[in-house]
Amino acid sequence: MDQFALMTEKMSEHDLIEACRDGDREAFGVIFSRHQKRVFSVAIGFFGGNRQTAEDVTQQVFLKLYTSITNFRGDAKLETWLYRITINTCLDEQRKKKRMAYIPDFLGLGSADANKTHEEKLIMRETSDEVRRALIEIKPKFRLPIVLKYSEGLSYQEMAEVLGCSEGTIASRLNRGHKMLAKKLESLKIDF
Amino acid sequence: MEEMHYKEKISAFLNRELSADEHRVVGEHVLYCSKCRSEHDEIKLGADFAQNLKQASAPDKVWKDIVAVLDKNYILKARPNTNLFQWKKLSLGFVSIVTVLSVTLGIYLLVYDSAQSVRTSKEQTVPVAHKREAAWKVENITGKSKITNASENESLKIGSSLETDKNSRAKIDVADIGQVEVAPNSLVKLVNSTKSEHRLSLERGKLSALIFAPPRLFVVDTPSAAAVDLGCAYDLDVDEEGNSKLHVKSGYVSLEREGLESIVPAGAICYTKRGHGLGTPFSETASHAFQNELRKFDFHDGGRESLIKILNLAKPRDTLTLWHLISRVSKESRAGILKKVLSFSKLPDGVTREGILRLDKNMLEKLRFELENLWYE
Repeated sequence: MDQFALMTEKMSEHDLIEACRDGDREAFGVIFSRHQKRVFSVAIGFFGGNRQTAEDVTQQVFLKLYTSITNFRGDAKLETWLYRITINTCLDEQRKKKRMAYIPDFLGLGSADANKTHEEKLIMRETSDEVRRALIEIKPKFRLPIVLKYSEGLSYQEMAEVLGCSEGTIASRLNRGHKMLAKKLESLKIDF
Repeated sequence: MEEMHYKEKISAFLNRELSADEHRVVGEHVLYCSKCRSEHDEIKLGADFAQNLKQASAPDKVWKDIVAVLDKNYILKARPNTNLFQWKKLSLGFVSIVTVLSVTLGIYLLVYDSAQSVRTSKEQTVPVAHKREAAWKVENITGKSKITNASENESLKIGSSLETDKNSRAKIDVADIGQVEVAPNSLVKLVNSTKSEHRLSLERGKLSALIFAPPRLFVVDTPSAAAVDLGCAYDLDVDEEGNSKLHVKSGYVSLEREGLESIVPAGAICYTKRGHGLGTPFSETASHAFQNELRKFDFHDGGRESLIKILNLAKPRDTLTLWHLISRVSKESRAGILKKVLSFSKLPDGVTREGILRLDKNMLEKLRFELENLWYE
């Protein structure tokens, strides 16, 4: 995506959306560059670290975004809209795969902190994989707030907007989600 | 006086989502209240684990795959030698020309020409994807389909029909939002194609739709109901009598007729019968006995007897059907259905039994969201 780097710095989101509406593939590429991490991270968090499914979901999300961008009215931020599309696509995908077991992979995630040593990165990645694997066993309504909070850093207000519920519901789901996660990962407590 | 606890606020406390005063109160309370401290420690352990979740980048191949799909489906035409900066240059040039040359009448004419030139240039480079073409491209997959009242390039235009015989099968590009495959022995008509609505009519036969678009942009009329796309893939059959069968493969479809609506999610089926209207959706994995009783209830005046059998046969996945039935029966029967639903699931926060029985729209929606967990387990 290097070819889009210069444009990424210079174009406002509004200009990019307008250009994308006019069918400009480069503008669409810049939108992809800016938001792909968000979409992929939510998908990989949702699907327990399964990279292949996360890649499929990311592809579907951006195709849906492109084909429907003419209908984006700008009432919400583009990233809020994208999170909504991502979550709906994840839920759809889960329905399709409802009888399949998810097999998380252990390949590199390309996101570790650059200042950490190789060993630290490995430990961190393994723990991150464990967390993702544990998350897949938690119902989506408790899983999603955890992914949005910790992977994406969204506030309760932002999560409420994305998930279409109240901040109180988010707080309550996070309470239950945290406890479920703690229970599933209790065995890691000493190492952790 | 009963002691105050703050268990419900622990996550918000740990995530620093409380006001400064509230944060202090909860923090102090947790120090001396063993119940809340125990809750705090458990939630904090989960939160500490969750802190390990990090953002990850999609591999480059994802973008390459997206471009390949766009190319293949003609959704987006690349614009050689054109980029945003060139557009900006064009705009700036245009403004400069207007400013300088509008001093004299002769130069004004020149500016007018330039303006025409810029507009023409822009129109020529707008990709096909964003022109809401009223002519939809048709491709024969096998055999030769017949188009009546076709446009010059053998595309479907508003008012034209496409008919396949027993040996032919065709694919239609639905403007820039997806594709429809028309099976043998089918007849479809293009009713409307605008920015806000693309509408086909399936008179008979079968089509499979794959749509990437915002909800309600694509609609297929049948003699017994309208299938409104909510972002999905589905098969739709219409028999010689005008009865239809909808089978949703991905996303949701809303079947609508005369103010009634059946929301059919992925993995579910819904029948409609001409003269009887909408059926009730059911899971594709529902037992045959359940499906038979539902058909009797929907289309053959099965009444209370069928309803009792449906309730006795219902499994958790069948709450899809039960949820729809709640708003289609008398209040007395409604209570029985709700009782069965609540044997599989609890009422979500903010939803009351009374609210459901009086068909409160918001509460019904919340209940549906809660029950969806059962439909896919």
